[in-house]
Amino acid sequence: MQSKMIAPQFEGNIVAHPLSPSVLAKLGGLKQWPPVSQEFDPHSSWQHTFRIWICHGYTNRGNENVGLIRLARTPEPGGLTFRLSVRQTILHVGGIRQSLDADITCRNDLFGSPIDWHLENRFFRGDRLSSTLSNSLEGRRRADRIELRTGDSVSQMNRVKNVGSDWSVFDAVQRWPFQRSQSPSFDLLENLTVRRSGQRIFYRGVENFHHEGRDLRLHHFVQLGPGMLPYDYWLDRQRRLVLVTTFTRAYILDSNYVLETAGSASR
Amino acid sequence: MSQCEETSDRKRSLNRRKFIKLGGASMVALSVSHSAKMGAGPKPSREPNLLVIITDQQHIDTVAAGGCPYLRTPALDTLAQRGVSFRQSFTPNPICSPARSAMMTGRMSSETGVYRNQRPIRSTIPNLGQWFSENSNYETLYAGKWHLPRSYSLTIPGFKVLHTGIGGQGNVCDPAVSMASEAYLRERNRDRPFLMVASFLQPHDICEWLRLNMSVPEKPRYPELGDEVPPLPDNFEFDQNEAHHIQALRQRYEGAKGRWTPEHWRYYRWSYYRHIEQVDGEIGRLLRALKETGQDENSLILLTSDHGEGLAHHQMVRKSSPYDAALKVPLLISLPGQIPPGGVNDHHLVSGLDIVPTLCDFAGIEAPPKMRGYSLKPLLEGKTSQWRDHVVSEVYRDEGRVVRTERYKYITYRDDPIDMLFDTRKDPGETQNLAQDPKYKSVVSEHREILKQWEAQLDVAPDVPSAEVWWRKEGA
Repeated sequence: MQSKMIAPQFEGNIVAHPLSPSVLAKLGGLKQWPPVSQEFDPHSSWQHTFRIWICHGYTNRGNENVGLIRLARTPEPGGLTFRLSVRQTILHVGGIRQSLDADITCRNDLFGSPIDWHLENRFFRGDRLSSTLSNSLEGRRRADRIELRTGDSVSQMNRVKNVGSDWSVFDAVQRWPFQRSQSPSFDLLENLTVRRSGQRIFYRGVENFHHEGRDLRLHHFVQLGPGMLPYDYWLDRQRRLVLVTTFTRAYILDSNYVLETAGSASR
Repeated sequence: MSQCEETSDRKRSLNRRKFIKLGGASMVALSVSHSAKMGAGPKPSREPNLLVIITDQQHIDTVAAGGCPYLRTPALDTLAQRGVSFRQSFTPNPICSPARSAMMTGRMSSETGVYRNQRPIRSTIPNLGQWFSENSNYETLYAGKWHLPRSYSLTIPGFKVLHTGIGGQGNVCDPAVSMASEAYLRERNRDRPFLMVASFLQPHDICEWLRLNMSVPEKPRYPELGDEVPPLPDNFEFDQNEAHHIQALRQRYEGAKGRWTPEHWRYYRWSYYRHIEQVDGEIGRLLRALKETGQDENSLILLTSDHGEGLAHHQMVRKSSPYDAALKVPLLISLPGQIPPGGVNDHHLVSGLDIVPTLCDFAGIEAPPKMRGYSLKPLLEGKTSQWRDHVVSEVYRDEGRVVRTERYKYITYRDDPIDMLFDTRKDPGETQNLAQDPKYKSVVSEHREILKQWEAQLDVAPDVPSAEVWWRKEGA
């Protein structure tokens, strides 16, 4: 099934419509669409850099880049698992920079289920690390149990079945079939720590999108579940995740993006 | 703090009786009942840690353990089960900065000078952090939204700021607020107790949601949700005999401007509950850190919000209205061994003004002078006590007042021909305005008199715009 994306009508300076490729384009958030990468194979090694762009719902203010996330996938020998490296930086008011770095061993399954992971959370004021506000966490999945270890403390999540993380779904959705289907229900580990049970992903079909002289066919998945606003995933025909929109946030594939850490989020 | 006009009063011993007298409210004797017995744990040998969790724009009925079936809130449920939930809990002002100024000082927003958003607290009135840092051994810490005047600031008087945030983007910045607070709780030097304010922005992001969803889609955006979308509230339809200020407020908001369908109103409600679940996850992170570091048992946790959310009641969205959806806020307070777990207090009228005196009481220090609120400690400990018989809220840029008594709720705005009166016992949804009914003339008069007396005690900041309105002029 295919549908054509219609550019929305704003209501004065109110956006009035949820973020989508056409809304982003009209708001100037997209800039250049990522060039086609014929070699992209979601099952092999790849690296994506997404610009994190936020919208306050106004057409004329508050729309800005606040960070980036860099994901790198490396298959492990045997093909049953892969490594997912995550480097995320967000700028906050006052020049505070939060850096979340994760190294995850994932199953090569439907959700990129995390098996073992290390998460490093650090805060910087300018270039200075706030050591008292930084910590690390180790996690591991064993059978139907997840253990989270922070320093000497261990907490457990029991009776887990299907598990993904907000970052591993960025990988997994690229390996999903482009056909009408609904995923099994799964738990999503937000920031690898907060459990959001009952997530589902649906395939919506193809949406045709005209942007800067190019006709683009985007495959569209939707994630719904408790604890979060819906996620919309947009993939190109190479199965490459080029855009994620969720509520006020857009993750825009932008390989050349460099975060200007000298600035900070407004307001 | 040296600038505070109350400085000379600060050292003065202020016993409870005198404090109540200074408060100026009439008091009635009420017996206190709790649904659970006092916990059996030993009394702490030293001052408890004080963790104040503030959410932004949280409707009071958004705790699964409190009976809301439309969301999952394991962290809020833990807090409800750990202590006492107040069900008659009112904000002093249903707008962000004014409410926060009152919560952080124990004074009305007309006194703090913060009668609208983004004004600073009057320099002569100490905030919670200033008072504790100068009068106690507590370490005073702040993370997240401040809004007095700026939403986020690296410098807040009286507090060490752990983290700021990003305006209007709680879904982005709240995890950082909780992670910074968590790290500090785990790593801190424990040679003295802490007073930490973790101030989350969610569910305030519903304001961004409203701007991004003002237009009604031709078909449901997420038909997969099916029956998960909650129904409309019982008081979706309302009495049209309404103060003009409220009518104007409604017309300015997205529900009216977007000519929403019932389906879109329901989708808005579904989305709002997801915002609550988001912040619940961050609150859970703090609770886990406290527990895993052994600080849980000696930590008082107070959770509240600056104001509520329309949530389709009276076809309103957002805040600023005097209806209960915006005026009532969650207030959950717990301290193992001192506050009985699982209690629900559904009859005492409490206010955000009570936060400062309550925290001072548990910390064993005197409250600042001229408090308009009272310590909740006697109620929390299940002791029979005298308690106030009314609460007053200021509404919308100091232009309106709400007086809530045990049974009635009276609303009046300046320059508005329509006053409102609700019998909260017969009409808890506030759907029938009785103010113009001759049978209730004496009730209206009685509430106007309460308001005048309340106003007479206030030390109003010189630049608030309502200095000449009837409730102030006649009460002076």
